[in-house]
Amino acid sequence: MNKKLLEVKNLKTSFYTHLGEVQAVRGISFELEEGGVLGIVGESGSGKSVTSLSIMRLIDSPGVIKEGEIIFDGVDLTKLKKSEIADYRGNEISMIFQDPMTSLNPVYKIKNQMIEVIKRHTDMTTAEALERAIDLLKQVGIPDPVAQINDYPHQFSGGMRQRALIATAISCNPRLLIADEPTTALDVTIQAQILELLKQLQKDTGMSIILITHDLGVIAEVSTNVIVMYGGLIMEKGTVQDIFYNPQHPYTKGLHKSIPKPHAKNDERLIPIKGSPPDLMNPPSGCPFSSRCDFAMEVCLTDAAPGYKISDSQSSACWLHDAESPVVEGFKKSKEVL
Amino acid sequence: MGNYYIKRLISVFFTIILIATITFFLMRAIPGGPFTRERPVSPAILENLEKKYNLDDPLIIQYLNYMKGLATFDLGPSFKILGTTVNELIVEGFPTSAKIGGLAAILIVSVGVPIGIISALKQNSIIDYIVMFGATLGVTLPSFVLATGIIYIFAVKYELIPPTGLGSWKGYIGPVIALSGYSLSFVARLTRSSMLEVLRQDYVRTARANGISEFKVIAKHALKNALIPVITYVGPMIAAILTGSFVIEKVFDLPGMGTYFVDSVSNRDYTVIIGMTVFYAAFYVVMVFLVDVAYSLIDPRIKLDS
Amino acid sequence: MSKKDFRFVKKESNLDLEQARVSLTYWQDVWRRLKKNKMAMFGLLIVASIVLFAIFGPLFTDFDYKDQELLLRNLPPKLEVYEVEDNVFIHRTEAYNLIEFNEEGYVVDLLEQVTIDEANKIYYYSYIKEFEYLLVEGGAFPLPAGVTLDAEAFYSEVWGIALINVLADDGDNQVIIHYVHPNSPFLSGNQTNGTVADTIEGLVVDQFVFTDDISNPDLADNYTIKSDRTALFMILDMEKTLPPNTEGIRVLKGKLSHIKIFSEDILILDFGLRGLDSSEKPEGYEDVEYIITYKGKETTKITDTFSNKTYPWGTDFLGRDVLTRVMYGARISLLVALIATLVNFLIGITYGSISGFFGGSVDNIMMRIVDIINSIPLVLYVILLMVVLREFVIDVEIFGKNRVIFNGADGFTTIIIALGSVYWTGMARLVRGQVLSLKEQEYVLAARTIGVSNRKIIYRHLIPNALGPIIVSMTMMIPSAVFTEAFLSFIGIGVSAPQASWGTLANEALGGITRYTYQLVYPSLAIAITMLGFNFLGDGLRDALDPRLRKG
Repeated sequence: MNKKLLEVKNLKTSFYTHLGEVQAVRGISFELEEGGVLGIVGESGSGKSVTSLSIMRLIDSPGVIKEGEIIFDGVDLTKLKKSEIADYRGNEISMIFQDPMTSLNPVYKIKNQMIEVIKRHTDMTTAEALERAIDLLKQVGIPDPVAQINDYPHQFSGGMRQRALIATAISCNPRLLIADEPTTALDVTIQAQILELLKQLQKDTGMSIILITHDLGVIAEVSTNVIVMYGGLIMEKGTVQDIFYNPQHPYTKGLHKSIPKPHAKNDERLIPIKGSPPDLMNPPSGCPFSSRCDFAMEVCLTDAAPGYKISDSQSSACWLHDAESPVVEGFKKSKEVL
Repeated sequence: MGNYYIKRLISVFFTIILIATITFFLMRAIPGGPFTRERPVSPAILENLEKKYNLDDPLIIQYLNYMKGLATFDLGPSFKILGTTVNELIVEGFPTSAKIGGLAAILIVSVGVPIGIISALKQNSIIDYIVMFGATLGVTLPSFVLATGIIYIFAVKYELIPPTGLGSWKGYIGPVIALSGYSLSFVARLTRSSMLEVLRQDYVRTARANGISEFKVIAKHALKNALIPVITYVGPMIAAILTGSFVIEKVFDLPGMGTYFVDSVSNRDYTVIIGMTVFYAAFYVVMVFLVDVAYSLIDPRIKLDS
Repeated sequence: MSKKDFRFVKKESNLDLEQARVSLTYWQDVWRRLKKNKMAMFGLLIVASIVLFAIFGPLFTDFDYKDQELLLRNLPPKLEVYEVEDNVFIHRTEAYNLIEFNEEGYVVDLLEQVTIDEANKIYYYSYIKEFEYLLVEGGAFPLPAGVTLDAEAFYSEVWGIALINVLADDGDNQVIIHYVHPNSPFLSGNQTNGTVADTIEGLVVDQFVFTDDISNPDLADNYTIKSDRTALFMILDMEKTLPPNTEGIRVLKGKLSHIKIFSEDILILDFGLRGLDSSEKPEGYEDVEYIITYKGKETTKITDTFSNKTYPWGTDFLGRDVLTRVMYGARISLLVALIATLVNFLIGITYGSISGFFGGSVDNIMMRIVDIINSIPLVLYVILLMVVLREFVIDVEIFGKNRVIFNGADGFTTIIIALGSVYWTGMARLVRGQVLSLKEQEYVLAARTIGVSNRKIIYRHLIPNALGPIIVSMTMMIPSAVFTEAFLSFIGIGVSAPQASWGTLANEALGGITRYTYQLVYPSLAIAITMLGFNFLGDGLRDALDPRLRKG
């Protein structure tokens, strides 16, 4: 097993709005090894983006990291000063965002924005940084980097902008790249290209990636490990194989039933998960999924389930794994609680 | 790109000619003409007067003559102030107005923009509330209220500044503050909301995520974008305040363009009204044009949009 | 840890925990959102108060906007008074008029300046009692030939009609003529009746009372004041009139009039400058310590300061009640703004919807025109229009009579036309944009696809979506119209006297800003508060009508 690069312990992040506290992330723990690709999947409002922003310490007021540790390469990022964390950003840890159309500053040339980042974290001269930027653009597949680096963002298409953003993000050889829904805003063909690019870059540089998405297909494409989030909590963790071939949590199972499969038979219908996600202003005391769960038990309404260890790589936060709960087909019993 | 500016320039000229035409015919549409008010004049004198000012020509000839004059920057004589031309009035009044207006413009930009930024950065803090309260007051207070308030408090009550005139440097304080009050508040509000908007933008988050220092994020990435709407407002505003404020000049009794214009309106001095209106309009559209040029320099997206 | 309950939850309780919310109509929802916005409700409250103030205010005042009383000009809302006698408070105005207030702060009586000793700076005042008399004559008259009058004595007639005390000298004999009116408090026993015609030729006056008692000590001491040789003269008659064209006397006949009669209670306002050289007098007498003498008692200190109840906001430079003027001003300012806004709304909506509906080159040309109009500040057009319109008088013959249907000199109509015909461009653009986008909206298409009726589409989708921004822009247009109107009136081309908008009031008060600041404060405050109210309300409405615009 590779060395642990990132370890998140009991992270809680809340937003103090004028209407009250919104508990976006309510105590999650996970780890990521060097060179690993972790997919975080969940629907909107599940807390996956907040998790990634918390790692980057990019939570803006009124948001606050309430509790927990984020240990990156032995350093607890939550304890760092603002100036110290800035040295990590774009350097050790990089991030790309959902909407490439708005993620580049419209009034500066691509060149300017890339060189700024490179010079921020290295001792390169402007000329060296420019050369590096052109190399990077070539690496991410911009056809004519020498000319196009002088363009303004509005002269780039969406896919090209995302490539430019990726190029900027990897410009200082980060050890962790967080990609928050990197393909959601793009056309399907471009999506595939970008995912391919990310995979290739990971292979080439050996960096770790956290890939955040609501799209199970994207996860399957790139990730090695998967976290399923819901209502600010982790529902299930496991390898891609675990989550896709042996899902244990009712929510993960629900997700599978709700997405189309390429080789489905005619009579196989998509089954949506009924209801809507919980209100994180007043989160339920029990399992956040209980109100939509087909197998909800009395205990689910009052207590959130701990993570039951299913295998060495997989765990699931559902009371159905408890030895005392009724036996339901498809849900393994587990004695070990993480 | 060059095309764009040429097109805009042509429309500037077109607008000026149109304004001059409309104003000319509006003034000629007034029943009675320029000399029939106040004391009745004998027909013989009236005839001589009309001859003197070429008012006996057909209207279209008068119009063409006026336009010819306009082309050579000659706005004609005043009908009410004997021996004075409109040009002389403008030359006399404009420097005063421009001095006050220029100082006000500097004050507006150099104070309004920074406090807007500070207010945005310290959103929901006590500073923010104070600034926003003051700015809201500033945009709701009519300029004559502000001007008279300043005179009362600073000139009458505490005698810190002279109530009227520009005798010493202190004389400038009142008019400049009164003139900038509304726009300063507006610019502060605009900068604040624009800055808040920009700070929420994804590219600001990207810059932060790339480890760019907070100072650079604000001073480089956010500010340039945030200033775009501010420039849109400030350009025409500078045009408007450089040509003088009717109210401020009246209250502080300053011999500026605004005072001459208001006087000409109450004296029914029609050539002065036309001339000054054309001057105002021309100055204004030229300023707006210059702003557009500046705008396209700061925002690269503009050029392609045209 | 307590024993866990692993029974499955019954389906019903589990089924849907989503809160059932009563479905609100669009406007109910807007109102709900508006109610939540404190600033907006505050704005609404202000606007409602100002409107009520404008509509009903004038019903509760005793004055009219054009009532003037020059003696009461420039009375402040806070009065400094001298208590000259128990519960008799005297206020000295800036123009050296004395006004009596009672202790509650109401005006009781006005004192008239009866004579001035300019050299010593001593002013004399007397109460005015008003009776209705038939005024027969008033004014100055020349002396008959050969008669000289001792000016000292003659001038005492200034005290009023009640007493005319004339020393006439026709060369041979000196006579003092008293004219004492039967109702006069001066009537006393030691006077003999006669007619003046007996003594002075040409002065044919009915019912003169005269006496030769030149040494009457009362009269000599109290009422001898130096004067020129012209005489102020008034003759009254309850029933009778003088023969017409009586020589030497101009007769104004048959006019029933208020005649002022001064009582014997004399107030003396002494500037306390006696003995000082004129060069030593302080300029404007600001620091003078005034001495008021009433019934022999001297009062030197300002004894009290209280609120003016008769004129709570004071009076203006013509002695008009400022509160009343501000209330009538509210009517004019708001009415001008409202009508101008409605006119703008109608023009803008027509122009904009035609432009948006037809689209293409019609739209192109119409919007180009708007662009050109907008290329210079709109206030310039308004000024030009005011300049032109004020010269027009349009009269039309209706039923054989010439009736003026438009008079440009009446600023009220003119300003509405000027404002109403210029500021529609913004509205036109807005409406055009709305029409254009509504034509293309997917939700309209979507509604149509699922079979929603046209009627319902119009009511549920088009109107709410188009109306929101229009209402907001109208709410914002009203304060800017108030603003512009005030501005025009302030530079002197607005509503004409004696009508007054807030701007006019501020303009009129400008001259006295140093001394009578309150005259400027109230109309200015009214404008500022109105602007504030409408702005808050407009902001709130914008948020309520378009939730998308709400900021975090």
